[in-house]
Order: sequence, then C-alpha cells, then structure tokens
Amino acid sequence: MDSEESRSKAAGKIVRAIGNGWSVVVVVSAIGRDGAPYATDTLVKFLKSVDSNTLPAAREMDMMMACGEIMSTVVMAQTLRARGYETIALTGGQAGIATDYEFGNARIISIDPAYVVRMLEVGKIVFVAGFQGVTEYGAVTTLGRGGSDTTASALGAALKPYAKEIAVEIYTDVDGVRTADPRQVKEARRLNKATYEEVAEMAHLGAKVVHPRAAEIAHLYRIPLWVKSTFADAEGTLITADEDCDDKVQQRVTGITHTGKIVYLRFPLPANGEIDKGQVEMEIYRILQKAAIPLYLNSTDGNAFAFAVAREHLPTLINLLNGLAIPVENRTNGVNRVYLLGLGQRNIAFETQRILLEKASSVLDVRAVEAEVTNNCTVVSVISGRFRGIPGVTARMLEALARVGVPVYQTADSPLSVSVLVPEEDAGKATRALHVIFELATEDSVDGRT
Amino acid sequence: MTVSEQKLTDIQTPIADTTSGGRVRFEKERGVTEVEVVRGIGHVTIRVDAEQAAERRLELLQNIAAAAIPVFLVKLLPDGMSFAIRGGDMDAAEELLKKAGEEFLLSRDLAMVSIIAGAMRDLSGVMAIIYETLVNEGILVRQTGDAYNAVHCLVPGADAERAARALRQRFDLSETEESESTADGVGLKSL
Repeated sequence: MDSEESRSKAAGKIVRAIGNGWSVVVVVSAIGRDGAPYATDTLVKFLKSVDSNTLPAAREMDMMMACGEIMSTVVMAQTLRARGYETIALTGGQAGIATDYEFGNARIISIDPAYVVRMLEVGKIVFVAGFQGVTEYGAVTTLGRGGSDTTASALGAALKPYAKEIAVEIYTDVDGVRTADPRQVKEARRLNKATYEEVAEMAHLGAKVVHPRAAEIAHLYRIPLWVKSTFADAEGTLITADEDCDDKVQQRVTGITHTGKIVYLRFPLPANGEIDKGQVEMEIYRILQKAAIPLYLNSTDGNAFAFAVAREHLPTLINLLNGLAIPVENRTNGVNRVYLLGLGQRNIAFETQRILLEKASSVLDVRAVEAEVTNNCTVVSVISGRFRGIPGVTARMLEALARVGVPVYQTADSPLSVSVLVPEEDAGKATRALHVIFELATEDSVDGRT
Repeated sequence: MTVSEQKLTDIQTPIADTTSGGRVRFEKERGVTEVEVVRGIGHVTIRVDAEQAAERRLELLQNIAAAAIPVFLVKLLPDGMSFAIRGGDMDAAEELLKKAGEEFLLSRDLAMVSIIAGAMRDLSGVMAIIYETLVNEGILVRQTGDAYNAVHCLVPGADAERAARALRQRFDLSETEESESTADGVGLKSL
C-alpha cells in the first residue's frame, strides 16, 4: 500500500465490488517494508532505540506495532474519499474486535460488529486496521503472524448474520493458491478451488498463502474465502468446505510445499539403552521447553529417538545439550546410570563433564550419547484433501526423489499430508520431481471445477 | 458482501455461536483441547541391510501399496523402517512380509493416543509434558508422530486408558473432552 500504483489497484477492486452491489469492509495491512519511515519494523527499531538495555513492555510494543496498520487504513480510506466515496477508518478495537491479553500473539475472543454494520447501513465504505484488537480494558493488542488475514476472516464471520451473502477476498501478490511455489516450479498451476483443511495444512507446512488461523475461522463459520491478486484480475482460488467440492477435488493431490531450514537430530543410546530412553527423552524435552524451542518430526525406535528443530535454534541447542549429563533413575536400586550427551564437535563443556564423571565411574555407569546432527535440511510435503483414494503416496515420493538423487532422511505423515526431510539445497529439485510424479501441472488432475 | 435490509434491532439470533448482546465467539482455545484414543493398531519394524536400506525401503513400500495396505506413522530407520497399521490389515501385512523374507517385528494390540491442540507448533513443551506423564505412569511409547494440530503416541493397548486419563488430567481437560474409536472405523489414509 506504500505506492500510488498499488493503492490505485486496490481502490479499483473496491470500486468494482461496490458497482456489483456489494457493501464493502476493507481490512488493511501495514504499509511499507523495512527501511521505509512508517514501516512496522522501522517503528519498532525506533522504540527499541530509546534504550538498548531496556526492552519495551509487551503492552507498549503492541501499541507501537499497531500503528502501521492504522496509518495504512487511514491512507486507504482517504484514497477512496478522494474519489468521492463516503468512508470511515476504524482501528481493530473500534471495529469491535476483542482479544485476550497475549500481547504480540493475541487471539480474538469476540467481535461486536454493531458499529461496522451501522456504518455500512449509512452507505460508508468501512476500512478496518488489520492485525489488532483490544482487551476488555481497552489495551491495544496485535494478533501475531497472519494477523490481517485473521482479521478479515473474523470480520467476515461476525458480519455473516447481518448479510444476505458474504465473501472474504484476500488480495496478495499472487493470483491464488498454487500447486507449488512458482519460483521453484514454473509449471505450478493456480487451483480454482481448495478446501479449508488443505489450505491450513499447506500454510502450516510452509506455503505462504493464507494464514491457517484465517482458514480455520473461515472453516468454523463457513465463510467463502477467496485468494486473489492485487495486480491482476484473475479469478483467484476459492477456499471452501470439503463437502462443497466434488470428488475430483477431494481425492486429488493438492500441492507441494516446503519449509525453511531445519536441523534433524538423532540420539542413539548405547546398547540396552531402550529401558532408559523414555527418561532421557523426557529430560531433553523439558530443557527444550524451558528454552521455548518447538520441535517436530518426532520419532522413536528401539534405543534411539529423533526430532527436528528450526535451524535458528541450533546454537542454543548445542549450548544446552552438549555436555549435558542426564541421570536415569533405576527404580530397583536408585540412580546408577548417567547419559552424557555430545552434539557434533565436542566442546569444553562435554570434555569437562566427561572427566568429572570418570571420577565417579566406580559408582556410576556413565554412557556417552553422540547425537547425529543433520544440518541444513528442509521438509518437503505433499498435501491432499483426502489421501484415502490415493494409494502408495510415500512410495511414489521416495521413488521420485531417488530418481533425481535426492536423499530422504525421514518421513512424516498426517491425515492431510506426507512429508519428507531432505537436504535444503535439494528443496527445488525435490519439489519439481514431486510436482511431476503427481502430475500437478496437468489441468485435469488439479482443477476441481464443479 | 451485501448487508441485510434488517435493522440491528430486528436481527434474530445470528447463525454463529453468540454470547449475549450479539457478540460472536471465535478462535479455538490455545493449548491442548482434547485427548483421543484409537485402539486396534499394530506396529511393524523391519530391519534390512543398512547399505541397501534406501532401496529395500522403497521396494517394501511399493509392495505394501500394491497390496492396498494402508500404513501411517511411517518412519525411516538407518537399517530399516517402521510403520503402524490398522488391526484389520495386520494379517495381510504379516503374510506379505513373510513372503518377502524380511526380518520384522509385528506388535499387535496397540493404541494411538493423540493429543490435540489448535496450533500445536506454536506451543512449546507439549512433548515434555507428554513424556513426563507417560514415564511417570510407566507407559512405554512405541512410536510418536506430530502434525500441525496433534502429537500422536503409540502405546500398548492395555495402557491406553490409563495414558489418556493421565494426559487429560495433566492438561486440565474434563472427562467430556475424551473420545475413543477403533482403527478400522477411523479414516486412516492409504499410503
């Protein structure tokens, strides 16, 4: 929204909707990218620059972060006012959006759309600042990642009872939901339809389309959700309920996604370690919990267990776990075993611990666990609305990747997806190979036109 | 959207859930909301020559798919693979693996205990709580898996009820949040 061209494009779409008989509520996201004087990142940096040794309070941080959306909302309202339309700009709180107290990642508790409805009734175009709400005592809160999408979806749900017909359109820089990242797969096709569950799963597995919170709200309240391009007039993708799609949509492979950089860690305990594995796992997960490090791709096997974390957490993980000594309670005769963890290159912490524990070797059974660290991975996933009608997905994935020489370190599956862990440098090759083997470039296998 | 011609005072009860005053409640609760149990699961672990693991795994999965045996919780091991299967498919899987001459271990009478949360990947510490709870109960976890909204644990069937009860207590869930089913009645996908 920081250029006249993009504002003009957006204004054109609003005017067209009004011409088609719609009353329009516009949710506006922040203006400008990092470096621009009014971008959210610029405002946050300004706030933090007051004193680099004192972090701003979460409450005040949210007030600052909400400014970007408020500015762009007012600017967009003025853009349409300059074209002769009656407009009103509202903050999230003024639009009736009430949240909990989780500053920075607030969840919407309720929406009272009375004022928005009143403004629509008197013929105004209503502009609402996305990404924000207020607590019951009026403190401004921000909604976390995907906040503007969430605001749009939630407002659509709140206004649905007052409307003969309702739709939420999310305008982005792409023309809809695609079968893969078009930067990696030039044959990636736009989907005419997708289900809420598919889109939520794609978003969770790395696709930057619609935030899963927005898809979940739309699903809960059965709001048709469109993803369209700000810069083109293509039809876009309709996101709707599973039962509103025909069998072809329901049983197809929908798309391929990939996440960011991942590190995969496997902890093989020494022989006969299976009996202690649960306790060792528990202690490691407790430590990760204290460090607020999310983990996934969990697996366990015999005397080994494994998980993945985002690459950004690896230095913290090494500091926490390298040289960590985990005592294991022997329920028969008390603690007499200690597992000493090593991650990659042994450091001073590990060596110091090892030497200290050696001194107690007469009373302690010290067992070293050398974690296998596979760095620079990524998760590539195949998403499908319903896998039930598609046999052998994992086998086909492994076959396709073997054919192009992409090693697979691990797999994971859910009712809506099958994922493989591959080297990050092979993400593009893997995505293209899977796009081919599941024939996603072929219109008949992708489109679910009803 | 088109706005209804009704004025605010004429609005009947809205379609969506409401509190008094016409407000609408949204968004799933944070944190764990449910613990589900699916019984009648089997777990297979196959060991192969580590140097040929990739090729043997692929061949096995292709044979399993050709036999239309749905599998889930598929995990790759340095020297093999493991997966879970529904009770009704265990005999067919066992026969297939015997014919293939594979070294395998089939565990029957397991249950999948699933811990459900709206945005699991935004929560940290769920695995720690799950393991603390199950280790304290002396329950062995045969396999784990995770999705964006759930963590799954495969446990002995005889321990499933105790595991679920302990987890519900730990996550402050009431008894009304429990649900149970058997694998053959659940839409587990075919792989």
